[in-house]
Amino acid sequence: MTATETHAPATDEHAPATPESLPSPGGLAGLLSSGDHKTLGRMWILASLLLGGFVLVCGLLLHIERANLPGLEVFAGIESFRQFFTLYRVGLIFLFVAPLWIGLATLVVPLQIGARGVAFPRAAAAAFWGWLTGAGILVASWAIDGGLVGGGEQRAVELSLLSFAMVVLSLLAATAVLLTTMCTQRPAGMSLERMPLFSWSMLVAGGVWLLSLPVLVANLVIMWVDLRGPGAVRYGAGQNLYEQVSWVFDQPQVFVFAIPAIGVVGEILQVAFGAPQQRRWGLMLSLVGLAGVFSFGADLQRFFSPTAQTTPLYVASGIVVALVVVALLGGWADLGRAARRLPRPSGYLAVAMSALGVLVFAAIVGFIRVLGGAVGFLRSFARHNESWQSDLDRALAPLDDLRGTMAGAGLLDLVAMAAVLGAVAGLFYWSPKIFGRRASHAAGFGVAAIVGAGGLLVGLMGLVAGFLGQPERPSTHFASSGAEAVAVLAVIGVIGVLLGLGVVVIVALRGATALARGASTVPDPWGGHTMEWFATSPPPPDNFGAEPVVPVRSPHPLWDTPAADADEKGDS
Amino acid sequence: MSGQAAATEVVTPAIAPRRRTLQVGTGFAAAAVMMYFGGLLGVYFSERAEFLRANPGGSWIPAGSRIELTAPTVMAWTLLLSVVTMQWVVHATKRDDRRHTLIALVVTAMFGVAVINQTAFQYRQMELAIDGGSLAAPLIYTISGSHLALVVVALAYLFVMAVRALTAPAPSVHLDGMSAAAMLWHVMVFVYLVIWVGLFVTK
Repeated sequence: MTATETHAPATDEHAPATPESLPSPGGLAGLLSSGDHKTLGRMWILASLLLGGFVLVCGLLLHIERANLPGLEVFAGIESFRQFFTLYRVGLIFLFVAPLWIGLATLVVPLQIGARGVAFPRAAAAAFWGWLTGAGILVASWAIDGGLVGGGEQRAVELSLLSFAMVVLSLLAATAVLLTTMCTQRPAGMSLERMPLFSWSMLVAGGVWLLSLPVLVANLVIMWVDLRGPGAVRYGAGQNLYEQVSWVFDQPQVFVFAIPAIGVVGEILQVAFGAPQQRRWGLMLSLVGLAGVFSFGADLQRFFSPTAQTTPLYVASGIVVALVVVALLGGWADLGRAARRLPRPSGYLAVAMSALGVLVFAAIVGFIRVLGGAVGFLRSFARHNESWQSDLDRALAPLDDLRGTMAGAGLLDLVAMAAVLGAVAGLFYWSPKIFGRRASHAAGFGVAAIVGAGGLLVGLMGLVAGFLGQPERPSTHFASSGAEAVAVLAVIGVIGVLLGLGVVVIVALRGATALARGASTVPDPWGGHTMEWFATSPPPPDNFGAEPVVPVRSPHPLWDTPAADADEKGDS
Repeated sequence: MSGQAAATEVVTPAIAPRRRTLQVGTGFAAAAVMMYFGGLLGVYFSERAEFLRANPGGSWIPAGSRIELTAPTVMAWTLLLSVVTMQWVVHATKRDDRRHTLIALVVTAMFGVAVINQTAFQYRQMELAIDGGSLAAPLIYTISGSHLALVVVALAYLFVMAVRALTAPAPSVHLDGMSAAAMLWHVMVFVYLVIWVGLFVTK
């Protein structure tokens, strides 16, 4: 078989064996050769959490340097500061947030849609190992004086570009596998609109990744070709390297990495309230789709189009994303009203609420940032009245000046933290499927409090620094006079996030150890409504064993059966 | 929750995967490929327009370099012909016509190899160097080189599917894979036509 092998129908007794149905070797050989989506998902999750810890340490060092604390000069000069600055940004999204979502989705989505595996298991395995290898080379290339900045060793910079492209291509391959799985492996009755909210949000986010990240690869290849020449003309020049890829870390593109968090929160809230999102289901799906459409940012590249941040599309994206978040809150409020009861408190609910809170602040900051672009429109309306224009100038100057400031860094941190918290909420919620045991509620409450507060502190301090005029691109490695206190608060926030992430890593490692020892728990400990809770915990190699799956007549198949009702009553 | 389903509900008998998995997967890959070239061409057109705005009457293609239209046009016609032979492959595979499948595959592959050869000729003819003096050079080589890589990938995909189909008891068993390979081939041809117009016709 090759990487393009498809699954045989589960009912066909004469069908060739799939990777899931073959007996797999145990131990390290089993891990290295596995095409099982659950094993791959666990490896994505663990690797991205560990790399996330490394990336956050880089972020901590940057904030310590900015704080200009006496006796605590971390970097030798501006060049090494810039190298870490780019490593932090690239790592935050491509070594931490995106792979964490890929891992969770690779594990959960096939179960949620009632599939027995992913569409291309070997391609899924190749994507993981390609990403891990690329991530290792990427970090090594930065360590040997590379990175997306000039002044370093040219061959190391070339290696940084190539390894970055390898990481992105691997993530794209994993995304394509997931999208194909969602399009082709659904059972009868599971139409697209009946897919659970998390799967739907991954479909939307994955679709936007698939359409936008190839443009990033195009940027990287142009830079690499120019750099390989005797003298870089423009694209491979050191000061231009990061600028060409900066659109990925800026509005609106950055929001696409938090879209799956909406799906996780939506799933968890329905279970916590014990009620399905029936009345506003179509609206919720549409809102997620709308957020995806307006998160596409590959066309808003400031390097090639300096006025990109004043275009109507850019302004509209920030406004629409904020409105989507408000409408989602309304939809969930409606869910709570229909349930007529308070949600059951749990660790995963606490983390999900923390994610939602940070996401709301991210949307607010995004909204505030695009107002700078809207200032131009307002001025054009008031151009016939000088008095109005001067009043507007005075009132809106702080917003106009936010462009190019640390407010952008604050937004990136807020979105990334919302995404991480969303993924961690999913990790706690689906822990019976991932590790064969329930994650501790106490740990969930702790993570929700520490990471939520830390993430908010880091992000909001970025906004404050923006209002204080701190530039986003580091022209110096220290905060200017008056902004040191803000940087110190950001340091405290990052330390909180790191502590919380440490708790998550411990939970994941303990879960993995328990799983290796054969841990198992009841299939549906929370009274879930989607297909994954029909499988045992942990699920067998082909997800549902010989059991036929429940009929799919709604987005909540397990709540449509009397047996599930009885189970849930017994559980509660 | 509704809980309205009857206790005697007949459960769905199986999780039957949909057909055309390879076509759907290749469709997603093709979409990503098109966005990749969209990104490259977007940068090219944007930079060319900016250059010409800043240098009215200037030449985007550096002096001493020749971008002839003959070789690219021959390549465009070669690829357009390969679209026909590629569909011949799919048609013959569908009818389990092993002989025509093989003939059409060989002809299509020859067209692909011819395009690689023509690209190499064009590179020699252009005398365009990435020497730090021209914005156009790195962009032209990136775009045409990426297309060359796509031709190689499409050929490799076609080869894998050909081996599968021709060694199977009935080639039509692998119609999904062959159609998927054809889809990538057609996308490759479409991308070249855009490059032909954007880079070589309008220069």
